[in-house]
This record gives sequence, structure tokens and C-alpha cells, in this order.
Amino acid sequence: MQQNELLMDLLMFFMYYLFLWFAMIYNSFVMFYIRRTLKKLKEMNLMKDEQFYQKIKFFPLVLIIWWIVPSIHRLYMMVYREDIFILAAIHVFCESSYGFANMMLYALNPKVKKIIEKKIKGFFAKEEKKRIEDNTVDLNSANSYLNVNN
Amino acid sequence: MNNFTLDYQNQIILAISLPSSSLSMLATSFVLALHFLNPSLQNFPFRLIVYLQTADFIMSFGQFMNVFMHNYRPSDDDYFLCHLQAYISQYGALSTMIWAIIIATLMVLSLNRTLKAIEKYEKILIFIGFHFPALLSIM
Repeated sequence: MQQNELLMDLLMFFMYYLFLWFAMIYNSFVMFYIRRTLKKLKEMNLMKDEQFYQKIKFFPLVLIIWWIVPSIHRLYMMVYREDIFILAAIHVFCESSYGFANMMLYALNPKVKKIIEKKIKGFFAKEEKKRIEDNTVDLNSANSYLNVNN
Repeated sequence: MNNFTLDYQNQIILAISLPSSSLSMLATSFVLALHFLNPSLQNFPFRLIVYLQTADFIMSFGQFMNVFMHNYRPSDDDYFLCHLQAYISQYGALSTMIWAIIIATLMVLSLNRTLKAIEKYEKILIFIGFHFPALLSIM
């Protein structure tokens, strides 16, 4: 019975964490390769996107930082059959906030930032225009009131 | 039945899980909204990010569901909800890992050839990124 349990644990562990570790190692190698290629381009002054070159090291780093504690926690639980609270808390935090980390890393590129900035500026410009129009209406009504009274 | 007698450690874990999974769900929804509302962001590279963020949303939803599973303790016969939550979390996590691998691979490929040449394989990528983890999670 206990052997079956262990077998199931091992199967579940490797189905999930094997992918995770593969992703960590693979992404690290790939990003290292891309960074090296981009460095050559930089030396030849052919680099178009300096920001991307700086950012690329964070792709595997985020993956490693966010998943190293969950991996240790699972491994510890599987081996010692007990839980450590602090590891469990960090595990939950990492797993829950990974979407936010990915959003900051992948989605917030300069183009998206520009679009968000444009939208925010557009919103405030509209509000300002509305406020000025309202003030003009107030001023007009005040003027007409004064004219009537004079 | 609502169970309010959660022990202290569980409460702390739930207090960590609820805001962080909500933040992730909001952040990923924001990216999806940006994609659908801006035609300039409906290109192939950004679609890949949207796929990754969809997987992230599913994973965060699984975590979010976990919080409610702790508060609303299903009866012993009601294993369906527990299994569903485990399946969603597992599927989301596997899918996000696979999309991270796909994006890294496409970044390397884009050094040598244009993404236009890769775009025609999008359906295969969707199969690998969304359908394959669905099958894997069932096991």
C-alpha cells in the first residue's frame, strides 16, 4: 500500500516537476545563446533593441527564482513525509504570483507601455477637457447672471 | 458547510494565496483586455504572450479556487470539486511551463528566420501548449 503511494507520488512529481526543471534548464541555455548572439551584434553596432538585451537575462531568472522553493518544498515533502510551514508559505506565494511575474516580464514591453501611457494620457486629457467645458459653462452662466443684474 | 475553525497556519497560507492569486488574475486579465482592445497588439508575437498569460490565468484561478475549497469544505462524497481544482492548477502550471519553452524556442528561431515563417505552425503550437497539458494532467 505504502509502495503504491510512493509510486503515485513519484509519478505525479515527475509529471509536473520534470517539465519545470526542463523549462528552467532549457530557458537558461536558450537565453544564454540569444544573449551571446545579441552581444556580437552589439559589438558590431547592429543592435536595434538595447532594452531587450538587458531584459533577456531575467527570463530564465524569474523562472528559477519563482520555482526553486516550490521544487525544494515538494522534494522535501516527498522524502521526509512532513511539511515545513515557511516553505509551504513561500511555495503558495510563488505559485499564485507567477502570473503577475510573467505579465511584468513578457507583456510589459516598450510597445505595450507606450499604449498604456497613451490611454492614461488620453483619459486625463478627456477629463481636463470636460472640466474646462464645465468651467466655461459656469463662467458663461455667471456672466449672463451679472449682465442681467447690471 | 462553512468551516470557520481553520488553524492559524492554514489561515496565513490562505491570506498569502488570496491576494497573490487575485493580483495574478487581474494582471493576466489586463493583458488579455489589452490584446482584444488594441488591434496593434493582435500580431503573432503578442498572441504568444496572450497564450502564456491565459495559462497563467488558469493556474491563478486554480490557486484562487483552492482558497474557497479550504473555506467551503466539500463533503467526503464531493470529491469532484477537489479533483477539479487539482486538475485546473496542474493543467495551468504545465501549460505555462510549455508556453515558456515555446516562446524561448521561437526567440532562438527568430534570430535566423522571420516569425512570419513560424506563424503558419500556430495551430501546432496551440496543440502543444494547451491540449497536450490537458491530456497530461488527466494522468
